[in-house]
Amino acid sequence: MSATATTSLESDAALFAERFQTIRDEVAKFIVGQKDIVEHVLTAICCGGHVLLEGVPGLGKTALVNTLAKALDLKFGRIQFTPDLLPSDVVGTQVLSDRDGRRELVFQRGPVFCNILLADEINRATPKTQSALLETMQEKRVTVAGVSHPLELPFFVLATQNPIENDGTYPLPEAQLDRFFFKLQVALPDHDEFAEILNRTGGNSSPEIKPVAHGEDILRMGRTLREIPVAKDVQDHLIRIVRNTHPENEKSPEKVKKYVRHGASPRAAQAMLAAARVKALLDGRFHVAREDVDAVAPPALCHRMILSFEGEAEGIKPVDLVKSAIRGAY
Amino acid sequence: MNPIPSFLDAVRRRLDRGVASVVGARCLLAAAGACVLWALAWRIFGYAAPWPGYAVAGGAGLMAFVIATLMSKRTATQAAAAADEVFGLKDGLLSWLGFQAKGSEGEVFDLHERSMAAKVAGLDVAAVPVPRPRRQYGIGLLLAVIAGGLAFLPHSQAVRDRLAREQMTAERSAEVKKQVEEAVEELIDQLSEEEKQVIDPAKLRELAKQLEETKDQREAEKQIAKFEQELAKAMQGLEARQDEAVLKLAAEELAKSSLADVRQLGKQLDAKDFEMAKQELQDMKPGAKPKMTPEELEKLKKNAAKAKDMAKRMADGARKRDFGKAPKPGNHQDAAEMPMAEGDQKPMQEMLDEMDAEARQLGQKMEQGEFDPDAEAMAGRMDGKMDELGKRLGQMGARQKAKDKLAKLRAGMGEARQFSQGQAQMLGLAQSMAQGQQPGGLKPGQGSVESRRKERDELKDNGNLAQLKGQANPDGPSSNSVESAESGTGIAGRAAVDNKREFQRQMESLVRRDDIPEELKLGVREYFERVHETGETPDK
Repeated sequence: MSATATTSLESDAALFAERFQTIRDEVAKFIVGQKDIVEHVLTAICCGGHVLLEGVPGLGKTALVNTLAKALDLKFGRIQFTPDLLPSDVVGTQVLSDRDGRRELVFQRGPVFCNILLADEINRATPKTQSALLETMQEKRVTVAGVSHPLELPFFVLATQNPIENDGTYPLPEAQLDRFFFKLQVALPDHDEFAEILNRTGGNSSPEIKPVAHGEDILRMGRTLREIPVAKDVQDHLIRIVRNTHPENEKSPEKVKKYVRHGASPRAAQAMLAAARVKALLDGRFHVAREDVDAVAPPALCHRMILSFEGEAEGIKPVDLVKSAIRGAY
Repeated sequence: MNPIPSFLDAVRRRLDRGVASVVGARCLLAAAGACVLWALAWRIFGYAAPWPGYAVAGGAGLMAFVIATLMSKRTATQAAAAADEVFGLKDGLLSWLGFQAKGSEGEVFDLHERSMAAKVAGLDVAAVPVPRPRRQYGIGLLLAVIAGGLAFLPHSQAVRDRLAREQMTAERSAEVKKQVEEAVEELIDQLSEEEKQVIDPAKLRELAKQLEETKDQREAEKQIAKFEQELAKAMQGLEARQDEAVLKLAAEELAKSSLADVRQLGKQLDAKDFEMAKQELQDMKPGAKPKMTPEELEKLKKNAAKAKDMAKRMADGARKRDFGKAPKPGNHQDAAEMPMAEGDQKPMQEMLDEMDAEARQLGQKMEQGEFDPDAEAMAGRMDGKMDELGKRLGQMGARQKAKDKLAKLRAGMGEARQFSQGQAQMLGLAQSMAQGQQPGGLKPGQGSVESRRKERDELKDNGNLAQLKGQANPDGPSSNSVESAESGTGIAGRAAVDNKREFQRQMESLVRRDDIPEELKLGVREYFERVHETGETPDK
């Protein structure tokens, strides 16, 4: 291997970092604080994954999604999930239509046909409706009456759920939770951030969000990050972390063995690897480091670990278990 | 040129130096600690610490250092991981090694290598920390100094004494072995052909060779005791108790004879002087031969008469023996260890009966007044029987002498034991054997009665009389006071009578025992006679 002039991959990598930073800056014009949340959401978008945002109302979850859609110049759709929402309300349905004097069934697209979908309070819909959306998330196409309708790429679902209102909700099953790339806890802003939020939104004008990237740019960023190689040692480290979340693994920490019923799936490892590549690229590296893996482990693993009865009873936080799994991987 | 390999190599060497430093400190600690423990372990028991222990600990420490250093040599992967951590390269070098090992090629790998090479070029390997365990080295050196100091301390007084004792025991046990071997050789040289038939010289030499030089006093004593025991067994094997018992009874009968020669024979048999008895028997033989002169014929008749009386009395005496109570011949467990055990011969009783029968026939023939060829043949057969008896007596004499010689050797073992214990300054087994096993002083039964001691007793000189002369006391006059018993009423009570009976019983049991020398028995008998000379003479 010899030193050469700037290559296309090198420029792509530079472009990736630049675009990522540009989008982050653009979003930051409206969203105050929440840097980690923004970075993780952008990471998930670059990797083609979906994000579940969990937080009490009013923390800016919807605003974040709105802002992202504007900054990325993507088609934005929103579904407010309610218990009476039907699958057809999400994916669309066939309606009878007159065309040239002939009546035929025409597929009418639902709100899911967009680039960025905000599934607000997803846990309020019935499992049937939830599963209709989650199938769409995985397959990135809608099948109605035996006809498949592919979604336009890129397609991202940013779902939100309220952790404190449990009445009349349908918690997402584990299998459906697994389909989310990251689950992010939106925290309460601190004092200064509060003040800034009030300053920005209290007047007659609000910051104007300009589109700084397009859907094609996001897809290209996804292709770029998949070029980043992972050394065997780092990959082994990642695998050890994921395996350490399983109570049946002999080398798992005692806490995991005691408080976890089911560990993370291989899909979690895929998500971690992709997210770690984003970290490496943002750091200007062409290799993934173990610290990249460690950094993305909590948002990728926490919602994929199912606590045992003891874990639930003792109020164990999954993030603590993930940290012990990381320590056990070294 | 790619600087990454050389950089990794430099990091690896630096890490190896650090490992060697740590391993060296630990080995020094371990070796010095072991030396101190070694020295203390010896010091606790009072010994000076032997230098070889230090050499072994030092060698082992050095070897452990070399082996541990070689086994702990860092790999390129470890060097890469260390460099990544120290210089914050975020697994860059580790990934580079992984890609190299995998043979990965492509644009992204080139980019990675270039970026890593650029980062590595500006790094100084000296920034990789090398552990310097100064404290461990300090403690190790301190322990080494302590161990060295302990090594110069000498043995404690008690240990020095013990080592000296061990040395003395070793030297003395060697001397004992040498002298025992010499004494055995001398004893073997002194053995007559007849005695050699009853004592196996090879067996004796083998017994002497079993003595070994040893530092352990107990072992030395055990060896001597074992040798003594073997001698005792050999002596036991030479016993001819049954024959002696028969001859004792025969002697009692012979003593009643009116013939002086026969009585003389009886005395010699009673005193177990078998050689003289054999000679006496030889003199009493009819001595038949063809064409005898009248004087010779007259002598033959006299001898035949003596022989007849002798044979009859001996046979009568022998018949008195209660064979049911007598020990069976050759029944000793170790009798087979020496040749010529008693059991392989014709019983004395039978021999005497045959001789008596021959003597009676010869006597009847001689009473008829004719000395025809039949009488000559009978006289010849009688000669043969008497020769047979004489030969048996000769053998018994030889056994007795051999037993006496073994007894002398055995008695010398007591002296050897004292010598090995350091209670005697010199050992002279050969001289002791030459002088005999008899103790010095008065004969048994001659002493102990102070009031009747003569002005000058005849002491039996065994060469040790010089020790009885006493030593000059430089601190003042020696004690010359005489302690005497308090005077009493002089009336013998029941206790005195009981004592008398007890003495009598003990004496009787003593004189009946076979393993006590005749001389001692006679001495004891004499003692009791002297003790009771004012009263009744105790029964035998």
